[in-house]
Amino acid sequence: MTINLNDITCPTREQRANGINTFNGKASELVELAKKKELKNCERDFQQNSGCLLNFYLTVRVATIRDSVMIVHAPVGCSAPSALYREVFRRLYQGLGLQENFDFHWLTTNIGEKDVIYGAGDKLRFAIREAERRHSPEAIFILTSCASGIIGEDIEGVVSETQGEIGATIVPIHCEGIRSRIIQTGYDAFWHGLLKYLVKPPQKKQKDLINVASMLSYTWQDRQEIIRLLGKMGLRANFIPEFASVQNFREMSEAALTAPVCPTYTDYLSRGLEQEYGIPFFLHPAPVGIANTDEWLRVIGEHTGKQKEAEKLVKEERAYWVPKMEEIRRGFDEVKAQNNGQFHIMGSLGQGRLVTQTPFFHELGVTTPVALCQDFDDLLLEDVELLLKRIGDFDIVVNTFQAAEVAHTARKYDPDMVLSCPFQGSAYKREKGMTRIHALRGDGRKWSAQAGYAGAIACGSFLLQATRNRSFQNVMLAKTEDPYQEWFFQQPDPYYFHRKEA
Amino acid sequence: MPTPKNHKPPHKPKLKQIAIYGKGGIGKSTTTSNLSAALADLGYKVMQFGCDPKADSTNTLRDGSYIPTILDLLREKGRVDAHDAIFEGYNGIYCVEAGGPSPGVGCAGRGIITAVQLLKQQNVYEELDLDYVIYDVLGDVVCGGFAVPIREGIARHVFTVSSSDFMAIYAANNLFRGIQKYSNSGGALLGGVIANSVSGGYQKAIIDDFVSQTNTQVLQYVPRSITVTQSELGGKTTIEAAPDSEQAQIYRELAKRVEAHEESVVPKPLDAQELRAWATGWSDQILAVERGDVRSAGAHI
Amino acid sequence: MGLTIVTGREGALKAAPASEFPEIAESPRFTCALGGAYGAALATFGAVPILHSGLGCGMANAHGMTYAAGLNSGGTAGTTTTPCSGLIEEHVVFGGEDKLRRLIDSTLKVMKGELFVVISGCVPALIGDDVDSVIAEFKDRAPIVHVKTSGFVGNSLVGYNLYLDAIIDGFLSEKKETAKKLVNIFGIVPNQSPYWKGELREIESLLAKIGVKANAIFANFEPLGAIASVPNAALNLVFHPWAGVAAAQKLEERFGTPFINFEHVPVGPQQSADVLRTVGRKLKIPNAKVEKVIGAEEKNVYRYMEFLAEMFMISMPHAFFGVVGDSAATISYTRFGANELGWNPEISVITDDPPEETHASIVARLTQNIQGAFRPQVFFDYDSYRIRERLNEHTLQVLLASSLEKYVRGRDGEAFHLSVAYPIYDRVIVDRSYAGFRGGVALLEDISHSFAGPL
Repeated sequence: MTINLNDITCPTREQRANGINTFNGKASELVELAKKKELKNCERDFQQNSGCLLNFYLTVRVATIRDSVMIVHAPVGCSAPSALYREVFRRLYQGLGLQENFDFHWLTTNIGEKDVIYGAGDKLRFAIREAERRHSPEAIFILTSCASGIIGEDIEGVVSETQGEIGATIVPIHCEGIRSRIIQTGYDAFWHGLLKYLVKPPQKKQKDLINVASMLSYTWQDRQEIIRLLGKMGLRANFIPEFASVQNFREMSEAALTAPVCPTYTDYLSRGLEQEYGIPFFLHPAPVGIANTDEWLRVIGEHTGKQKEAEKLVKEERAYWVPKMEEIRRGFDEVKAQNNGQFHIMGSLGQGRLVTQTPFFHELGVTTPVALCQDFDDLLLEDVELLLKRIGDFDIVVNTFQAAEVAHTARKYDPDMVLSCPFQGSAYKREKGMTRIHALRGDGRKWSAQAGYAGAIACGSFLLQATRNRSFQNVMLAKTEDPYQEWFFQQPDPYYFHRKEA
Repeated sequence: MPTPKNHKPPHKPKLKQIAIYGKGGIGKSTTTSNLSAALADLGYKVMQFGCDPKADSTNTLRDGSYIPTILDLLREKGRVDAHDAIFEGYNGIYCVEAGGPSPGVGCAGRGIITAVQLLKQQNVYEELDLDYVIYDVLGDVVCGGFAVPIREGIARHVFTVSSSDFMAIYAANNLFRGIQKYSNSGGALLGGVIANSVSGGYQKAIIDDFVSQTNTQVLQYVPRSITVTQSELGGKTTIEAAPDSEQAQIYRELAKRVEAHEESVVPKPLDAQELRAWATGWSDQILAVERGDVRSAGAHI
Repeated sequence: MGLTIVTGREGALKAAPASEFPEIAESPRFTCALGGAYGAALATFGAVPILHSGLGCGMANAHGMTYAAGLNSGGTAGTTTTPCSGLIEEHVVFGGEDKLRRLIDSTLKVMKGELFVVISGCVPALIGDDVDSVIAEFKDRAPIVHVKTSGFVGNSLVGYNLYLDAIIDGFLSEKKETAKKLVNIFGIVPNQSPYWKGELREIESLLAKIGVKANAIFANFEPLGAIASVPNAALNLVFHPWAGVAAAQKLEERFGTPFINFEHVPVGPQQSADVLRTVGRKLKIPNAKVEKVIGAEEKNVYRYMEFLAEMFMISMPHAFFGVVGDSAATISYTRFGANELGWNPEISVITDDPPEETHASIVARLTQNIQGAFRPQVFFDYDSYRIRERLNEHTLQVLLASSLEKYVRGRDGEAFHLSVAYPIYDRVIVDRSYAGFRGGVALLEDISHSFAGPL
């Protein structure tokens, strides 16, 4: 696959990699269909809020980029989530490496009735100038919306017209919500804009610099852990996009390697950096769980000529962390002893977590009767095949935040614990109990970490802790009503409402 | 004599992307299809890309048959391989239809945006090693979607098909406004007007006056002809059905002019008031001619 | 739109900085009309909103609206539980009616609900889906209405107004009888007032004390009953300068129900007593009865005030204070601070973009019958950047605002900030409020600790 930076944006995930977000069956079957290019996305008759290219969650990612201004070219509601993040992130203590008085800047063009009829190009031009006047940023990101897309706003025209008079580099990002069912398309669109406009040809090579694209669903502690581990190998992490400065993007072309935290999220960027600047990359594994972290460090070692350092580090770290993991395992053994010898967890979220989290559950000594995955495409096919070889076949449900389908699946498989994003509409009161699958970037506690060795232990402890008392979930389950009709749960297929044709 | 088929042009030129606009029913698809056919006869690899929800731009290149549109395929499959949307027509012309909604529903403009981008992203033009891509676009520029072929560096040259009818000229002027708007930001420029159903007389005078007022030119006068109608009824272009006709020769001349055309310009559209004044001026003049008051250059009808 | 600076403390008019597009703003203090209608539907217990919109509209408004109202989720039918047609390219081009039809049909099968509210957004508005005729097909299966919004038709308060309008048009047919002591409550906008649940509850109990029954559609476990009895009310009460006013006017035209607009929620004893006296007069409740209630409430609240008044006098007496919030909240807190706490009003910023014709009345509320030597400068603006700049031109000891002002300290850098207005991301608010007689005490509880302590 080549990335064509002459185009204004990326292809959709559907186009680029046969992306789908409707599937219910065996993982082996999913892989077979994908290999034959026979996966088909279905239209849902019953569908629930999920998230769009712009709002899952480019707005809150892009807004965190320092010395930049984000302009959301949209009606006022599209940027509403960005209202919170300045305040939320300031809760992080400065000792964790967040700059003092962390601030960020954005504008909405607040598209109104008149604008959708007459066009809002003048407004966008004005907003660009206003962004420059207010903040003299290094970069101005323009995020597009359904409304701007449908009325056919000429974003590139405005950019080329205003770029000459503006000090900041203007980066248009085509994340119109209507473009795709797959929210990953939004990330690809963002990387496309960065690669096209912001990444500079290398001035020098920085052999110790590793590009790491991290996610808001990994916490601030995960960042700290990655810095710590790379530091021990004499390497530095170039974290993008959240909290990065514009310079961090510009110098991505000078790095030695692009390493994943979430492979499906990083894919387009990694390929683009390799294609344009020859920066090598790998997509698997991500540093989740002990074995995956070992492997992650080793692969980084290979790419940077630091195999020895990597081996030494892995050895040291294992000596410290593996006994802790064994302790957690023993904890789960106790839990299992009281639970017919097993403990089923239903988990995972994105494709990235699918391939990383399942092996991690095995490290904990718990099993997964079914994996949930937000979307599926060709990009990680090999890794899922590998996973099948390692752990055998498993059931998989692919949907993007379809809360009713998830509730149905939970009822059907009756796992001992459901891991989910708590924002999934009252999901906390699922049958035997549920706990959060991850914390968010604004949570600076070590307790909430997930990445690297420290994260594996923190997350394992957290899950063990979650098995110990579930009165809250039980009380809420008993005392509040389920939003869904019993009839729905009685249908054998959670995908009852899928139209088999597209 | 028609040019022998498959004669190779002397040197391989760069891909030329052209958009042809005009009011509905003005003969835009007819002109475009004949232009495509004539260019194909000159040995060029041509794609004709219909941007009209009616999806009938390329019919006369394919014996009157309809082809599945890009948007139909997108609706059916969710993912479109561009090759499934490209059909071969007369003399190897690649025929594509964007398609669109039924009248009264959805958004036709957005349909064009989607279809054009889908094809562009799959690098089909390079793969097919095309010499010409000709977009046949509905109507005047009514909303953003219909402007897509003239912006973002998709088409380089725009031609508009117009008769001397005031509504057609109004549409042409609207198009000029679109071109002027996008001209600062790398959009297409105006190649000229293809004057359709214009045989001479005051019709020609009106068109000539309009192009001189708006800083453009007439690329070709195409008279009304029964040959065209007969060919179309047989599901064919004039070039195919009546290659030896006078009308076919006119289309071949048009093709040669398009082939030779290099420099397009920013037009100077009339503003609403100017346009009204201009139209009133002409209607007064025509009335005067019909009453026999005036004997002007345009009055030899 | 936007920016009029109305009056300076000396009554001098100060010109606003001109902006070609004042509506271009950092972090405006509202979401879109779809959001406002969605929030209203979620606040109607038992209602299931059905979004006919893009995939992300619901999520954007979960994180950007219900969570902005004191970190609340949308409840049973909120966040990812809400049905949504998830319109993408193919629906845009070919129309979304068929998708909506299938969505409504399946929603009626899957979800528990007493009424269903279809809220249409930008996409159907732009492509011209005929949503009403789709909904008409389901009228015999469940109570269902259409709120015809979009993201660009206006802000969330406009969405609230459109929601009420849809409910009135969709469900109210005739007045059965006039219940002499029944009043409808309007203008407490779910989410836009982060304290909406507590405020509604407080107003209900306040009115109950004088024998008046408050009828609110929101936070009511019998929403259909509440809706059905709307035409029967003797009086409609509005607590906002412009939200809910159109509904009250429509009800007056249709059912002849008079209305009173207080323009703000009563905070503290004076404002609460005013509401009781006004309603009592209008409903011909004996004056003695009303005064007896007021007397007992005052005695109670001021006695308790004495427990905290000393800390208050040490912590923040005579403070120069600023208020930033939507028009109703700004009136409540500016008047409470100036008329009961002895604070000096310095600046009041109105952030809900009220219609031009309401500006004069809002300014009057903020500058007339205000105790003390000072009147606040009044600004109408919702751009967080300009608001920060303005606030930093003033010396402030107290700033009652949204959480967007959490780190704004005023010119001397000493303002104590409390989040009282939308958006509030720095505290959780479920059903508490500062409304009613005791509301003022509650407010002081939340702020007086800050700079005080025993010797």
